[in-house]
Amino acid sequence: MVDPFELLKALHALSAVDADRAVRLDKLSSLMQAPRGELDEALRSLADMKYVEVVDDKVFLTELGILKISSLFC
Amino acid sequence: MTTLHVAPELDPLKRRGLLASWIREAVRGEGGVVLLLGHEGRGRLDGVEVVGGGAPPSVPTSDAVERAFLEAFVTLAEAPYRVDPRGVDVVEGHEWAGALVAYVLAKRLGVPFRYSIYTRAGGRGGRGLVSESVASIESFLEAEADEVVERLRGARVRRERGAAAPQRRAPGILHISWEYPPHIVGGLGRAVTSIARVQAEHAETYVLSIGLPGRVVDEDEGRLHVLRVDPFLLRTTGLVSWVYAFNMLMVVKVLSLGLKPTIIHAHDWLSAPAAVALKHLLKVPLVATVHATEYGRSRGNIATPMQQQIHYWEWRLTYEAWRVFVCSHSMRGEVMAAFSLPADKITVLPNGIDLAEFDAHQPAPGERDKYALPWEKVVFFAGRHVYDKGIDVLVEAARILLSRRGDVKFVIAGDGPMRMHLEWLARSYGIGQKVLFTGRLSDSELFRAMKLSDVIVIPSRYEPFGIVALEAMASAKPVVASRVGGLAEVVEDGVTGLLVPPDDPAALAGAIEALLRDPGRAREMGASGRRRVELLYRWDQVVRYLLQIYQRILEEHSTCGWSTLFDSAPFPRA
Repeated sequence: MVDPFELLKALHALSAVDADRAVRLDKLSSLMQAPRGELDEALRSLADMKYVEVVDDKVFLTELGILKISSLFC
Repeated sequence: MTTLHVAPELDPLKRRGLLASWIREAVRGEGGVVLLLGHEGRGRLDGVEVVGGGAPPSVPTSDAVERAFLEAFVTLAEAPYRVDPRGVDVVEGHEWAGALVAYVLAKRLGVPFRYSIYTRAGGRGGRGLVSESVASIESFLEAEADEVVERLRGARVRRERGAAAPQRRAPGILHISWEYPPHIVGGLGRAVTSIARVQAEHAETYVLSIGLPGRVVDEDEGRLHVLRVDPFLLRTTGLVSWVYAFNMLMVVKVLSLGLKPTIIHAHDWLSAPAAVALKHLLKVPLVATVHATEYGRSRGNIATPMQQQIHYWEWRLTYEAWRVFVCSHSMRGEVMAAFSLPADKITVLPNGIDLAEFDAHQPAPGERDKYALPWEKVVFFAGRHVYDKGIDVLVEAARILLSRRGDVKFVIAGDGPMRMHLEWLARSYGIGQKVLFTGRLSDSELFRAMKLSDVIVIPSRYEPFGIVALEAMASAKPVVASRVGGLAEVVEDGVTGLLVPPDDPAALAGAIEALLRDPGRAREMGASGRRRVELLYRWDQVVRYLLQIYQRILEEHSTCGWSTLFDSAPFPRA
């Protein structure tokens, strides 16, 4: 089971914050050592909450997703 | 003329022995002085002078990237006292870890930056976030270098950039804050925004911050200058190395602009590495506001590498600061306990509110219908959805109150790591229809929503100040708040609201109900709150006092005899 919050943190670390810097899902799956099916499921729930955007085979954090990660810090 | 080398290692018997041997060979060939990261002392090696860059603090790090940044910031603060820059005509960084420091020192000294590469992240066969991050740092440094030397291939590439005209910005106050609109996360960003805007009416004021994607643009508005770096320029390994990376870019930004501030005002640990480095590199007095501490958030349980690094930088910031500002007497005690700080170094400077701005946002007709039915009372909360804010206690209090009366709607604004759990909690209590999670609201939406509410609740477990309490009082609404931290100072119990013990849902429900049952008393409390804000919490008063303290510090600074070896390299260059 992929922890959605860990997924957000990984995208943040990879600077996947806009379409130009989006990360391929295969690469993310390998970096997170997560099966593709579980990854897709976690991404779907994050996309529903508008924290990430999935375009074709790539994903990036939305501004809302960035602010969610930032909220850890203060 | 001399080369100043910056090396991560020179001892072949250490962990990266082969790299150390290569660097030693390169340095022997070039000559010059070596600044050795992570070491103390000085001496000669193979006929070359070696100066230790300073021992790193004994805090654990999670990976090589965090470690390298931590050592880099320690060295940047130490270098002005250890390295004589006279005669240095190039700064050469060996491997990416040495090059990070060399790049900044070259900017400070106004000389070319040479980057010596031995191996690359890709070539080392690494995988994972560390490898991704190192590769991105290497690419960045390679692009920025005036000369790149591939030591093992014997290749050398010089870039003819032409002599860039030295920049020079008018001196002024420099705030360093990771939060500034549109990147506003909590109270820190609101405080910095208000302080900077008022200060700019009196003096040249800079805010150094980060930009959100697509909006990394500097802004000038009269004497207020907002400088931004792209916090996603480099890939990192996690939240701490992300903070280090954008702090490094902040230092470079100030040096590249030729900005020598009159005073640096840092806000929380997230700007501490840059603030401390700039203090020493430019010999400028530093003050700090501690808005919250990891010690307080974790109730003194500093355990993980991340927490230990945050605690280290909070301590370091208060140690380095000429004066430390906190927002409440409660925070004063917390900072003294957490960092062994003497009381006479700390000034309590409360947060304020810009009433003209606040009053400008009035709800539109029918806007209340977005939140509740006409017969429902609105109990409002706004804040980050984290444990410290006690929203779970509020949901529990909602369950208790709704079991007694059904005419109440709980509106919970904000976002954060606990949001999914809180939504689930409300559903599992069977009160999902009566608890509305709005998500993040804009400032205007937030201020308007407060004015539509009947009671505003702040159920925090930890709260250094609680700007939301001021906003509630400015809205002339009664407040029900936990008796913790700054809230117990801002909210006058029985006069502007009611204080209840933290973590006590029954008491919270009881206090909310008492105010809903007695609208006359609630109105009176709201009016008292408004008067209290008008009298005690105005940013113009706060800033006037702050400017007086700056002035005293600048007078002390002008007579204190602080000197560094970098005094022989004036900044900005003529």
